[in-house]
Formats: sequence, C-alpha cells, structure tokens
Amino acid sequence: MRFFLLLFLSLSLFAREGGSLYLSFKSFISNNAVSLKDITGDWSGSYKSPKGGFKALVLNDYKIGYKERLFSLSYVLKSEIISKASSDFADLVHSVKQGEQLDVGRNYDLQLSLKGFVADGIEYERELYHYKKDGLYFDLRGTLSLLHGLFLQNAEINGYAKALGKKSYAFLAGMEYYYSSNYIYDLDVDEPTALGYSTDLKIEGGYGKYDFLLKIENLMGYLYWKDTPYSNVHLKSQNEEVDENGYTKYNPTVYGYEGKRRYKQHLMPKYTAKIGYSLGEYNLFLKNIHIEKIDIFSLGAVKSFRDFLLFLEYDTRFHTVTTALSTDNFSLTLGFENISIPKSKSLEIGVSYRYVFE
Amino acid sequence: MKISILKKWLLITAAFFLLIGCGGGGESAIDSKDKKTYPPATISGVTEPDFLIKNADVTISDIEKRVVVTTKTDESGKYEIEIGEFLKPLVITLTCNEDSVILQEGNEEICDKNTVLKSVVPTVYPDQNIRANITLLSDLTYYIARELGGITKENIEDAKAIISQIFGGIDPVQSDPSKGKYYSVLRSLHQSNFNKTDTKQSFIKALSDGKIDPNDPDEKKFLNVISKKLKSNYQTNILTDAVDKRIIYILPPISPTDEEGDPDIKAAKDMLEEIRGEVLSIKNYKNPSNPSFYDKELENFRKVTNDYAMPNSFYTAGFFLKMTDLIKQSEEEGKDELTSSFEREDGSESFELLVRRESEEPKNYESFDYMILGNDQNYSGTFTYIPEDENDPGFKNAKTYKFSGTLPLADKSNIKEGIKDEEIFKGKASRFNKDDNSYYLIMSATIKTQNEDMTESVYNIKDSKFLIHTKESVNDNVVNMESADAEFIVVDISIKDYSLKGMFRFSDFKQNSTFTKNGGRLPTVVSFSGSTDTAETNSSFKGDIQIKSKNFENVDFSTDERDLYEIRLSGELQIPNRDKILVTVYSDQLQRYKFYNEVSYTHGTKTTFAAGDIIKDKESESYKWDITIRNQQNIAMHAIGDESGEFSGDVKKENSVIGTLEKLNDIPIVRFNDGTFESIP
Repeated sequence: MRFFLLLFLSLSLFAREGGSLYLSFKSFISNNAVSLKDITGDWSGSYKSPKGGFKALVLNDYKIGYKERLFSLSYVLKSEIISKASSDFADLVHSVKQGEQLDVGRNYDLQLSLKGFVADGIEYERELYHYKKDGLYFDLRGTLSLLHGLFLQNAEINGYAKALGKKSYAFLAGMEYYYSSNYIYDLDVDEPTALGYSTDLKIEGGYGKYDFLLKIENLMGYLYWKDTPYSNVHLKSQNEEVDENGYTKYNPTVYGYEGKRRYKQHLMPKYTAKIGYSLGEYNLFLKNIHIEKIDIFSLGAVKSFRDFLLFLEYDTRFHTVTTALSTDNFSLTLGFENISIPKSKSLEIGVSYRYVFE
Repeated sequence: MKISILKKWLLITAAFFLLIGCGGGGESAIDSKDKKTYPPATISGVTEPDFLIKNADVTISDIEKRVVVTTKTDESGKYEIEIGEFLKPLVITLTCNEDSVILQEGNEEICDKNTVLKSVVPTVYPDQNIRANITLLSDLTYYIARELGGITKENIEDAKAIISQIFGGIDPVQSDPSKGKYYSVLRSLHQSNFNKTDTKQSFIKALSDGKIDPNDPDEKKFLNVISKKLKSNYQTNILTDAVDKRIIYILPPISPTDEEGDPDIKAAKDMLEEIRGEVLSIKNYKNPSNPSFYDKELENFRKVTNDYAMPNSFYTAGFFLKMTDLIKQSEEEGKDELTSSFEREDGSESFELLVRRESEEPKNYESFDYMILGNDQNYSGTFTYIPEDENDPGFKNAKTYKFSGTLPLADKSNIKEGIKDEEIFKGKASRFNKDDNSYYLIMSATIKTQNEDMTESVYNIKDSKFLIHTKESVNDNVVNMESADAEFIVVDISIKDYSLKGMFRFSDFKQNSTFTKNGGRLPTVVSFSGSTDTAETNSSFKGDIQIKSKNFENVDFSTDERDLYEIRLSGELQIPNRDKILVTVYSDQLQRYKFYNEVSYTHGTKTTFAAGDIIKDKESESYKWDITIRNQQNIAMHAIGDESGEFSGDVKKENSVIGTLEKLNDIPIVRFNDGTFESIP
C-alpha cells in the first residue's frame, strides 16, 4: 500500500494540466433475509423466508489514482463476495439459529453457493474509442487490472434435510470448498496468495436527452491461487447400515478430505446497464446490475443544482433507497433498506474525491 | 431380629452391583414388550390425484420378494393396511387388474394390466402410521434405490434424497401428491412424457454415476429432454437451473476408507470403525433388531440382581430366620403357640404371625409340624422342624426346618408385573451352630408364580449360606442377632424369557465402627460367577464379576466420605449375527474422584485394549478422561477430553503420529496426516 501511495505521489510530479489525483470508496452490502446486524450472528431479527432463494452480496471497491481524460492509473482494492442459497436452506439456518421448532416432516432442499475474493493491484483504464456525431456521442473504455489475491471463498453445498422432530433433523449433504479462511467450520489454515488479472469494458454516452452506460467488469478475469486450502466434506446423519452379512455397521457422520491445491478462480462478470433521460434540471434513469444471475434493478432521479447534483435511487431487488450528493470533485453516497439502520438488510456507502491539477 | 436390618444390608450389598451397569438407562428385557405383542403398524397411501387408480392390487413385500400383505386401492385411489413385519425395508407394488380403473381429469379409463408402480418404506416400527404414496416419483425412488445397490434402508434414504435434491425438497414417498410442489412436479413430468419407460431408464442411468453433470453432453441432452416441456410452473426453474449449470449430486455411499492410501491410516480407520460400531451399538442397544447391543446382558444382569435376586434372597432369608427363631423359642420355652410381628420387606406395615405346634410328639425322627398363620392371609403354611438331622454328618447339630406354603414376596412386581395371587413357596432351612456366638443358616427355596399371561416365573435359591452372629443381651439374657453375613447365594432365576444362573459370593467381611448397619459388618468383596440369557434377544453372558471395597474399614461413614472400589469383569458375550465377544474390565478407584480403567475387547479376530484415567471434577461434577486405545497392529489412539466438550489427542502407529484428535465445530473427529478426516460418531 505504501508502495502505491509513493507511486501516485510520484505520478503527481508528472501531472499535467487537467489531470487529477482521485480516490474513491464504494461499498454495497445486502441480503434479502435478515438485517445486516444479525446476519453474522444468530439471525435474531425479523426474518422473511426469501422467495426465489437467499441472496447476499458484498461488493467493495477502493481506488486511489491519477486520471486524465484518456487514461487513468490506480491502485485498487476490491472485494466481491456473493452467497446464494435455497429458501429451504435459509429457513433451516434461521430455525436452527433461533432454536425454533421445525416443521416436522418438512424436506429441505439444501443448496448453497458462496463465491468471492478480495484482491488489490494496479488498474489501468484507457479510452479505446470516442465517437461524436449527429448528436450521438459515446466513449469506449477498457480496463486492465493486474491483481494480487488476498482472500478467497468458493463453496458449493448440495444436500437435503428432513425435519424428524421439532428439534431434530436428518441430513445428507456434500460440500466442496476453497478458501483462505474457513468460515463454514473451525479450521486454521495458511492463507494462500494469488496473482491474476481482470479486464473491464465500458461504453458511456448519450443521444439528445438520453444518456446511457454499459459496463462489463471482469469480462475476463482470473485469480490463480497457489496452495489453496480445500475441503471436501460429506455429512450424513443416517450413519447406520446393515452390511451384506446382516451385521450393523456405523459410518461416520462427517468425513472428508482437506488439502491444498492450485485453484483457478474465475472472477464473476458484473454487468451494469443504465439509461437516463433528461427533463430539464432532472434526469430520470433506469439501471440494472447483473452478477451471478442476480439482477439488481433500480430506478432513480438526479436533480441538478447550481453547484451540485442530488441523486435518489431505489433498487427493486433489495429495496435499497440510496441518496447521493455530488459536486465536481466530491461525492457522498448513502443507502439503506430500512430507515432504522440496525434493521436494514442493505447498506450502500460511497465517498469520492479528486484533486484537479491546473 | 429386625428384617429391616437385612433389608438395609442387602441394599448396601446390592449397591455394589449398581456400579457394574454399563450403558445405563435402558429398558430391561423384563420391562420391554415381547415381540409377539408388538402392536401392528399401519401403512397407507394414495395414488396421484390426476392419475388416480381404483381397485388396483397393492402388494407389500420384503426385499426377498416375500409377500407380507396384500390389499387393494379403494374408490379414492387410497389404500391402508396393517402390517406386523418390522424393522426392515418394504417394497409396495401397485398392479392393475381387470377391475382397475384410472381416473384422469374426470374421465375413467381402463388401467392397462401392465401398469406397475412401486413405492418403498425404509423401515417400519410397531404402532406407527406410515405414509407410502404410490406415484411416478415413488416409483422412481424405488428404481434409483435399486440402482444404488439394492433395496436397503440406506439406499432408499439416498434415493429419496436424490429426488428431493432434484425436485426442490419434496419427499417422493411421504409428501402429499395433491398439493403444492409435488402436484406441480407430477403434472410436469406427465406432460413431458416422463412416465415413458425409456425416459425413466435414462434418468436412472444418468444418476448411476453419482451425479447429473450438465457439462456432460449426454446428460445435458437428457436433462433437456425431461425439462423441455416443463414450461409453466414452479418446477421449471429447478430443472432448467439443473440443465444450465447445476450439478445434481448423489452423495456417494459412505466408505471413507481409502484402499490405496497409507496402510497405517487405513488400519487406524478400521480401528476407528470398530470402536464407533461398538460404542454406537451400546448407545442404540434398545433396538431389539440391532444385533450389536452387547451390553444388554449386563444391563439386564444389573437390574435383575438389584431388583430380584438380592431383595428376594434376603427377604426369604429374613423369613426363615424369623420363623426358626420363633420355633426355637417355642421349643426352648415349651410353648405350643407364639405370636410375633413380621415386617414386610417394603416396610409398608407389619403383620402378626401365629406359630403353632401341630404335633405333640415327634412325627418322624423327632420332627414337629408348626402351622404358620398370618393375619394377612397370604402368610400360611407348615413348618416341619427336625431338631437333629442325623442323616447328614455334615450337618451335625443341625436343626432343619422345611416350609411349604405361601410367602408373599417383598413386592410381587419383583417377580413379574401382573402376577396372579397364586404362588407356590417351598423351602428348607438348616441351622447349626458354628460356635457359642454364631450359627449358620443354610437355605434353599423355590418360589413359583403364575403370571397373568399364564407363563410361570421360577425363582430358586439353592443351598445358600448365611452366618448369623448373635449376642446375649446383658439385661434380659435374650439372645439377639448382631449381624447376618451372607456367605454365598446360589440363584437360578427364570423370569419369562430371562434367566440368571450363578453364585453370588460375599467374603472378607470387615467391620467399621462408623457404619451402624448389620453390626457394622459388610463383605468387602462381592462376586458373581455364572451366566445370563435373554431369550428375546437371543443373547447371553457368561463370566465373572467382582467388586471389592478397598478401604471399607477406614471410611468414616459419619461424614460424606465414601469407600473406594475395584471392579473386575471377565466374560463372554454371545449376540446374534456377531462373533463371540470376550471382554475383560478392570476399574480401580484410585481416589474418590479418580478411576483407572483397563478394558480388553475381543470381537472375532480383533482385540482392542483401552487403558486410562477417568477423573471427576469436584466442583463441576463433570468427568474428564485421558485414555489410550490400542489394537493388535499397534495403532494407538490417545484421547483427552471432558464432558464440557474439550477433546484432543493423537493417533500413533508405534511412535509416529499419523493423525490428531480434534473437534470440527462440536463434532469430535480424527484428522489424518493424508488430509482425510472422519468424525468419531
């Protein structure tokens, strides 16, 4: 980090007029089942069974860099973690964590996928093409990031559970898990490291009163992890069987393998599409973010004031209401799903600042 | 002499045997229901709501294809039948006959005689209502279970799990096919012609390699076939999702042993499997179908000893002592009739007994008959008193008493609950002097009772020997009993389908001034040699058990101090479907809260040794242990743990560590050096 700060301070020595040093921080954390305060605890707050499955996202992006019109060079630290689970899985977790009585006889389809990484590195963005004619204009920009992997989560759980009693259930499940820290069960491991890259593509432009944005992050992106802790775990509550001789045999309830492997992590592509329409001092927009088959559709409005812009946005997936204040060189973003912050299932925070050389 | 003294004495003595109980808390053979009397289970189910089959034959058979029961579906496509075959998987087969009709969307059609649908039940327990619907999915469950290796409880559960994974959590056998997700699935499957044999077979085949992988072109094609027509309902998403990306897993059968791996680790896993099997079989011994419940015999032994053998032996001895005292008093005082109170063993109330000499002159060899009458009419009978048994030189100076009549036992439930008030008591007691201050009582008795179900329980005491110490009261020159020491008691008990045969021996009597019962005397060594047999489970134990008090004479009973014990057990257990088990146990209570234990356990050709300390924490009252288990291949598992959940240790082959004992969250596991791990339970 210190190296990168020195790098950017050095860059500033070569800064040209119109160039700027900038820093930005964006964070979006959300899920559709319980409040963020409770999700890492006992899920004690209000809970609603998530129709269509449980979804949770953590998307963070920190950047500091130098930018000119045609390019930018930044130090980036980003994390993308997405968890999806079947509604049954979420219901069972909630019931067990809360000590609630189970619905005897109910079958639970246990599906969970957890994907994510934290990486830092250098990001170089460049304008690839600029078009302006007959009222239509757009920029095509590409980004190449060289990444250093810091944190990894990749888990797939498939299984089945059945409530046998109000407090007991039978289960059958299998899990494959690559990780730098084991969050599913207690195991201390040496954290792996990775090198990798990602490429982004962005088209941004407008026509008349319309403006648009299409951005694909991690269009191609991989992290190559070395010595990655890996677990393959099987769980089965029904561990009694009668062998061919009629003898009762007891198998372990849990068994598996833990080891280290090379692991090529495919970074999840993230698609952002936005279209806006100007109505005088207002701009109305529709936006959709698509990542891991999760669509976060939102609509919003921007009102222009003399020295700043005021944003208001609502996403229909997690019901986050986001407001933002933006000036030429500074912006602040804040969003919640619930006005009572402790009860909120989502949180969005963003801060950015730039210093323009003159 | 007060019977209550004997009662307390025997309770203390019997308490020795409380320590022997292994497993604990289980239902004894005597209390548990006889297999023949298990109430039947009921199996019921329905056919599909949109594919309702009336008047079809329903056959329930076991895995050997033996037909257990048959019935028919009714006008609503339902069936229900009672079944008396328990604890095994069953196959339900619906077959259409000439009267069978399919009701499909309100229209009746003749059901093709070739229509066969299956369903399965993993296990049946008595007095249970089991739902086993007969649908396309139950049929699929049957075939998948068969594909997984045969119709076993295990494979049926796996097959149900697979179906559940694919179809969003429904239970293919038990969920209601007329509702929600299940209904949608069936509708979709019929629309996609899934019921066609070739599609079904493809599906089963695709599952046979443990997963459906959409990356495999053939399997993707297959998934496309079955999902193609699923357009308009909830189920579409699940299957489409599967087609697109989701691998549907069939968890492999649990067989964690890696044949190709490190032979030492494989040996350790074998040992772990052996230990797991033995420990879990103790835990699960209540299930009479489980052939592993080897501690059943010891549990029965403990119960029968504490509840039957000891109380009835001492009660009978107490009765003989009382009667012979009275007759002796009658003889010495020249009285033809004496009355005395007799205290029932349960202490509820005492009864007045009348002892009357019936014959003025010796009947035969100076024998006299005495009539015993109690105000409780259960006490009646005749004592024949033979002052000198001249025929038996070993019984010189012996005075022999024979009794024939009724003797209500301390508690009739001690023999069998529901006993009829008909019991036969015959007994014989001989008294002869050892010295001026003690005499022997040798007694034999037979008690037969008829149970309500007309079976007979027989309780035999054979030539059991007690040494009675007496002392003369300084004030009134009356001779009173000071203590009664049982030297040995030989029993042969047959209670319904349980029998106990053997000798209890009591020795090394010691005195403790702070112990006030039985003259302050107790046997410090109690042992049993003999056998037990439980017909219900066809299991038996034959061997020796010994409990020794290490410091009885030095214990201060006026405080809370307790004496220390040493327990030895060696014997042979016979259990159905298992090789003979030889077990030896040595447990030495080193301190009040510390026990050293050694166990050797031979099952078939495998012997396992365990040794180590079990310590009870004085403050938390919880136990902790430090035990090493070793087998013949020199694999040693050293486990340190406590009841609060601490668990650690290692697994060694000779001196090389090949694994560690740890906890995976709250589950104790063994983590081996090759990366594999498995839980202990």
